[in-house]
Amino acid sequence: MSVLGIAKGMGVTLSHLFKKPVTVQYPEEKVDVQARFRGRHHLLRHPDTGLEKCIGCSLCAAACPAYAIYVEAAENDPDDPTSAGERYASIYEINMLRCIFCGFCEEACPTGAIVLGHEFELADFRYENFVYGKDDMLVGVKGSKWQRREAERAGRDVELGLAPSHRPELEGVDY
Amino acid sequence: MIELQTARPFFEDKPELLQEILGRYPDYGRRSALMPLLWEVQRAERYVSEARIAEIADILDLTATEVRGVMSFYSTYHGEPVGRYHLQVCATLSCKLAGADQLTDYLEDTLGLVPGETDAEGRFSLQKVECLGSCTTAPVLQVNDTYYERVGRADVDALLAAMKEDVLPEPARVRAGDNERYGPAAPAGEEDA
Amino acid sequence: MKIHVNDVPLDVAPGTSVIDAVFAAGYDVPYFCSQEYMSPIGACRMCLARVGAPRKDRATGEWILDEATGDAKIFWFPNPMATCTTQVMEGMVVDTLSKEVKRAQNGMVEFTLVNHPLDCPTCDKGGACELQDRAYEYGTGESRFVFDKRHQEKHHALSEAITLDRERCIHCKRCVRYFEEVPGDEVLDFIERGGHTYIGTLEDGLPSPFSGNITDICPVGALLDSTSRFRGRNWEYHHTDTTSLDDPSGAALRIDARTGRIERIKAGLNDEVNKTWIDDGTRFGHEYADHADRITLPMVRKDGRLEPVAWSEAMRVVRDKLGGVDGTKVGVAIRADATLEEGVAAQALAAHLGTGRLDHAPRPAASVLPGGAPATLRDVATSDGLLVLGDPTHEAAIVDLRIKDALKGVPPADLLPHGVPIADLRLTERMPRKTEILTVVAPYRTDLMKHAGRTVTPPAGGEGALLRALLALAHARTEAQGASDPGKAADAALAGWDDAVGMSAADAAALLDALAAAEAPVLIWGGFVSADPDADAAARALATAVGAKTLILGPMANAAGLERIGVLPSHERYAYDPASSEVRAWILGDLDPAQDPTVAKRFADLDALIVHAAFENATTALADVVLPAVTGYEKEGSTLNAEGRLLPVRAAPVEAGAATDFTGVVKAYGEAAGERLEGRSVRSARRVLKKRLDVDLAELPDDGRLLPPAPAAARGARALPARRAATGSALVVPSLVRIEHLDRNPTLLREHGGPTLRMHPSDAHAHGLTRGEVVTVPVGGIPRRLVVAPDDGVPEGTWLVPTLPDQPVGLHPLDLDALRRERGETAEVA
Repeated sequence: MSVLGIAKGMGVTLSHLFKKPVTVQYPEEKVDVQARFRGRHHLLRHPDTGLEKCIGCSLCAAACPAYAIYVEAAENDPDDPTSAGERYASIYEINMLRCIFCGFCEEACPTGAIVLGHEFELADFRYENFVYGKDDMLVGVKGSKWQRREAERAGRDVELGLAPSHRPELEGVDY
Repeated sequence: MIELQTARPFFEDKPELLQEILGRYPDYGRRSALMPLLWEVQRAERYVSEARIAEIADILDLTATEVRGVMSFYSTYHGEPVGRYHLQVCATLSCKLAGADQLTDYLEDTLGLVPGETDAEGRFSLQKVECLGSCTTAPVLQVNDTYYERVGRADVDALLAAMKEDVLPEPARVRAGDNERYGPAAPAGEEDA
Repeated sequence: MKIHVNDVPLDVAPGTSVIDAVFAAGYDVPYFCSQEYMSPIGACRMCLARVGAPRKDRATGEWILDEATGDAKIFWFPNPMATCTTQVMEGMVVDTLSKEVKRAQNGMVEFTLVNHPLDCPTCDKGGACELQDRAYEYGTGESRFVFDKRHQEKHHALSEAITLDRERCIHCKRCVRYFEEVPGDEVLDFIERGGHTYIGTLEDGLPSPFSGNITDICPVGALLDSTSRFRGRNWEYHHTDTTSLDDPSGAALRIDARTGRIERIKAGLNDEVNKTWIDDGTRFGHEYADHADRITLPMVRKDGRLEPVAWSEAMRVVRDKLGGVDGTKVGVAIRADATLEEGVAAQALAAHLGTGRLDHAPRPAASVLPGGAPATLRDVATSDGLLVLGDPTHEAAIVDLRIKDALKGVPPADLLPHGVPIADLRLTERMPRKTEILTVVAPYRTDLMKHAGRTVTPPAGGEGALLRALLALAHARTEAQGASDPGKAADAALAGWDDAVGMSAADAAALLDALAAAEAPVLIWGGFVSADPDADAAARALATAVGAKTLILGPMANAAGLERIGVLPSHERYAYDPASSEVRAWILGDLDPAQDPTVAKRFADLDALIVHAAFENATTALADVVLPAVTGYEKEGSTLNAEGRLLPVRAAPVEAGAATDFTGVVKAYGEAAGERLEGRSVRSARRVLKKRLDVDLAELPDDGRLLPPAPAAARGARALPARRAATGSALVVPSLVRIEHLDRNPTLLREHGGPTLRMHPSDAHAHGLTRGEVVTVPVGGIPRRLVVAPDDGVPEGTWLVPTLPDQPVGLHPLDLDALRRERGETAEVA
């Protein structure tokens, strides 16, 4: 190895000393994520009617390589439908400990109802708190279960450690 | 349902007719009598009610469902009362191409009916039917049992006017090759264009 | 017949359809409208293939040869043929692989999909749909149809248990044909025509006891089982192939369960037994198994209240309670739909306790094991002379269908390499039925009677007299043949005939003639005959006299099996009698005798009452210990059906807490008592049964195995139950629907209506009863809550009540004076 080689390598190192650091002082600072980042799932609604997009077909559960999703369906009441179809998901659960955030569920979904969002702060204390139901994932719910518990305890809004970001598939989700 | 209890069976006072019809078929083919029996009821009452369906089913030892299945296959039979003048527009390919849709639209607008309906006085009823087997003279309008062929808007107006006077005009029979007399067929909707 | 399918030379029987030849050669053609057990009609046009055959020269009668090769020249049919309705011909060549065939098949898939909604994600059939599969395999993969599809009703309740989606229907006509061809109830038909065609009924529901089968055979998601609507997707179900314990026909079932619940039941395939059909009671009657009332933990009475405890503690209490009772005064009784393994367990328990008071219930007065010539269901289906005593539709529903097979006169098809032929060309729509071969004898108008050439209505309980008269006549006629003047002697034999038995002398003679002329006559009887030992003896003798095989329909699924392995009292005196004052302690398997207030009074005085039950009932309310039982869907074991076929029973994964079958009870008892009893597990019970029956039940094939008939010495040697006087005006009749579970089966309850009290309209009028009224009336001591249903098929003076496990078929006293009306309560009557 020649001295020249060492100098060249050190040069790269030195040049970085003068660049703006990429480190983000999370949690003081908010994290910027890529648009294609796969975080906590959202269950979307049709923006015009407010009906759930999920029709309870269970294809996400079939596609899930980690068996993290459980769906139970029921028939819509035609006078007061939950979803825009004849069936809807009466139970929709994702076990976030099992989930590997691969996004297969999103690809399998025929109605674009389940989309992986950008929220990533899912840490919690008890196993049962990692099973997210419809109430935890429907569009409009912000934050993980723990964040929402904390926010309620402290009497303030949920604050995400996530810089404002956007992904077109996340219809109606606002970070 | 009230009808079921009060209406007299149709064939009760016509035992000879019933026997004659049943006699046309061997015993193992008794169900073949279904069509003539339906036809008798249809001709007399202008429709076949559920009570009559049940009665015929009973006579032939069939289920009402079977009778209804056969009956509904033919546009000849009606489950609802139709008007004294039952207008049937052929809606199959040749007539469609020759303007049957415009003919139906015109009848709908003029009579204020949609296909399947009967007007309040019970004079007119309108129905779209499948092929009437007269493609060479399309479009065809069948009123009760009479064919009116190659009907244009003016023909329809004349026909309706006559029927409002309770006259069913003689149809002008046309055949293939009669075109010199009538000129090329003009679909109903294009006449005023 | 030598043919070629693509490159495969094949030798097939004449009359085979081309589609079966193709499958036999290992190739595949798509099809929708064909079904193994129904006539091929070529309605869907999906099974197209190119077919050709050599031709003979008319002038010379020689095969026309191909000049180039010198072989017979193949003349191809001008168009692709529907292979299901084409018969094989000598030298035929079938091509299923060419581009032309693919194009034709593509085109048909596309055509079928034109009006089929693409709502597979919400469709219950999705993932198990024939159209979905065929569209993947044979479709073009993309749609050119950009127009509006046909719109029709999507949630039409064809009946309470069947939902029809008219948009999804592809008009294959399987369901319509099914009703005409299989049960013979034409309650469904095509309405309208062309693109407007839909299926519908005018019958106010689907009044056929076999309507549910159309949900199995529908190739798309148009006909769906309402009990499982939206409950799960097909790939999520855990499938259990088992045998029905609902009735003694032993129909194959497939139980689909998910997350510990039974979501639906479909028919299994057993060519020898049920083909692919099951009755509605079996199909829709599963909801009770998931009912919230299930007993899931053992319970012990403490301070007058039942408290949940662990099995070990419950069994300590049982051991201590029984320890204080003279072993010979303990009674053990299990229900007659228990498995053979449970029977062995009960025997082991009784032997350990030292009691001979072991029995299964309900058990009729006469044996339900056939004599020397037992008839199989195949024998029934191929018989040309059938005498049926009873109501097989309700006693063993599959027998009803096999009788209707016999009326068609088409023997079961031989199996091909791919199984049952897909298109059996011997079957046609609207086949003439040979009703003259069937005689039905029952004291009221049964469903089967409308298919019978001869019906006989003896007075209730009069089967014995009728059979004895027939037997005497048969003997007299045989003797007359040897007389010097046979004609005169035969007339003399007829002269003594008494029409009061239910049929005229001429009819009786005609019936005996028909049975004598038949090549394979079969005598079938059920509970009405078995309730009377004299009638049973006469029936057996008559079968021998006319050379008929016999099929006996027992009261519950495994009555024959439990009798065969000897779950019987050691002495006639010890037969199951819950009202007996000699018994000091009872161990009851899923029986509820305390519905009868006199039994309940008697039970209050027992030293120990131990009840193994799935639901709380009048008996568990009095019990000292209640042990949680599994239902027939959750058992592992084997059963013996009416024809003597051993069939496997397998456990579906149902969440039922600590519930076990009776072997589990014996195991836990043995542990508490420090004994290793035989039959403490299914495996150990099977070891015992292997010695006794010489069959390894663990190795039973899915379609079961016929058990050779029991040696005559083993039959009838055991005791008969203490007979109650078989009198009274209530005739308890068999029921296709299990009445004891009906309240917990909401779908079936809506479909079937409540349990009915049927009587002649004049009797209803005389007692001021109106149709649909709900009444409670004591029948044989048990107060029964029933819906009034006048029926002119019931003879005057007789009142029909559906059976319960604790109220066996036959005559029972009816206390009409104690009849109580439920004010304002009315119910639908099916």
